[in-house]
Amino acid sequence: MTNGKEWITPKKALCWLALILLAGFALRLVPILSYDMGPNTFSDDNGYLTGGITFANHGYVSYEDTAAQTTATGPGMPFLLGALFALFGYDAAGMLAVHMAFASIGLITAIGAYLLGTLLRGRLTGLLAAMFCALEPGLVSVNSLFLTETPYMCLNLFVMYCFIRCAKEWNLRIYWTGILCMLIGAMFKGLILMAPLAALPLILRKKETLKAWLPRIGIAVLAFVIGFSPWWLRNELVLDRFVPFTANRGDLQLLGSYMGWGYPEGTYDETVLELDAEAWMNGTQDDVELRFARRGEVGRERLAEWFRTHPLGFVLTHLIYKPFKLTTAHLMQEPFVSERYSQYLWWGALIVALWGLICPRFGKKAEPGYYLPALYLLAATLITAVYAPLPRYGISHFPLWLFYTAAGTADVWRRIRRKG
Amino acid sequence: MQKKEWHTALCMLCVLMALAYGLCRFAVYQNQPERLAAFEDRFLDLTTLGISAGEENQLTVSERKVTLSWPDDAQAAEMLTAVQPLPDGCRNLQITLGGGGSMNSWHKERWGYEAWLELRLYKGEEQIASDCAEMPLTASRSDRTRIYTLQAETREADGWQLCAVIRPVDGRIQHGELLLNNWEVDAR
Repeated sequence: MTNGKEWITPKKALCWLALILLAGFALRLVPILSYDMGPNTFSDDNGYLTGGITFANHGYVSYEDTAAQTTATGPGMPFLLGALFALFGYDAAGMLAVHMAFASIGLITAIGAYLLGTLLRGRLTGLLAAMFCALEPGLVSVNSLFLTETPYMCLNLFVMYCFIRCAKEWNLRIYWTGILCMLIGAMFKGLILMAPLAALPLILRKKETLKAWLPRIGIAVLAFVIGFSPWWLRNELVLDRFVPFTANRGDLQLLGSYMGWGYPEGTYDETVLELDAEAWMNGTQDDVELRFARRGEVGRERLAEWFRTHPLGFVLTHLIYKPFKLTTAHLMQEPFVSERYSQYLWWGALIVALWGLICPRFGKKAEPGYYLPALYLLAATLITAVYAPLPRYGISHFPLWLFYTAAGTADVWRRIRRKG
Repeated sequence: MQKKEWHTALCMLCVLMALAYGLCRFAVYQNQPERLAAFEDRFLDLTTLGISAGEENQLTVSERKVTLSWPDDAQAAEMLTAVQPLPDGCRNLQITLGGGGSMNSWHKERWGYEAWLELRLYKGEEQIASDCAEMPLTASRSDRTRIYTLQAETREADGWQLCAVIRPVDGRIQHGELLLNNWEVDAR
């Protein structure tokens, strides 16, 4: 895939990859086996746990409230966890087994990083990217809980790999693998629809390529519409309205209006208390969907007020402050190693990633498509900064940053070897 | 695009359409009023289970939630249901419920007390089988629950009882509470 000499043979690379995956699996056992039933932070992960068991038993997509259907979550987690619970059960032993199986998705992400790294920069970069994805404490921590980030990151990486690979060199099987990954990934987060767009600059390079790709893009869109139609029908039956992915972003929008420079006065907790009191007065305290939607309304009102009163602060917050926080914040949901240590590690990884981004200017030239993940990172971070400015949502971008960290590390390694 | 690509696309879209059709049928089936009603009203009414607690323990029972609390320096606490009849021909009983309470654990560490759930099966007045599970209460707020499940082969049993036991880790226990909600019984 890459030009230049590869000093690691494919066979050797596979042996190294197997070792990396083994080490990654062992590391993932640490936070899981510390608890009798696997870790649980009683946050979103508890909602998914409950939703998975409800789906396994009754076939309904629900979240925290086991007696109500929901559109607060996509169908991905209930399907995936429901299948795992049906397979392993959810007594103490079953719960640990499901945690292990779920955390192992993080290892498939490492394989995706290997493929992407090898495709865009060579086998050494691929191996290093796999190693970083398998061993990075924040990723291990997120993988050990039941969060959408784990399957989403994995599928996102594969979608990007498949479409970039097809744009460089057409392959029917990989194209369909990419479409299926996109379809399944959208069940976890709709943002995955941005991943195939990463390949667009490569496709737009030549007129002939674009001509061949137009029907392919049409087929991908059609496959998505067909694949998602049951979810749209189900949402129509449950809510009486069209919901493409999930209905609730309300709480996140409200939270986002308390972060940055020059936002309107008040605190998130105060507003939530006021809105909860309002819900009690209206008799809607048990309608979670409605309460979250109301938070969204207030959040949007606050964002509009912010833009009116401090337009510069608003713009700078969304262009600089929130994207910076999303990128640099390190999340240790399950503190199995020191939080400070892993934060330093992440800062180090980002610095090396920056070198990875610029090093092709000073040595081994960049393969076509090398900067596509960076373009995607930029767009995805800016979009996430608007709709979900919480550190947790930045972790989905870790594997792509780690690809550039790997490229930077490989470049430094090559330079040292050359000097030696 | 080559012929092979068109053929593959047609095949894959047909497979997707068949899958989507099946799932649409399932969505419509699941949203039939009687199925929905069964889903929404599937929990046991806890006020009908004759739940009782030990002396010095305080018990609050509502339709879907029961809270057991105990005072400072208690030696143990317990709450249990009256023995409930098993349906005829039932071979396996599974009870799923949400459990939470005052935080008592982090990783493998326990302090204050241990909370256990026990499902007992009876033939007449004799206990013939049981299943139990510890509830490590790791939430910082006592109203946050996670799902627990207990199951047992019913064999010749004709009744079941659910019991929650609080045992001290080192001598006496301090004031705390245990919350159990959304009890679901699956008798097959």
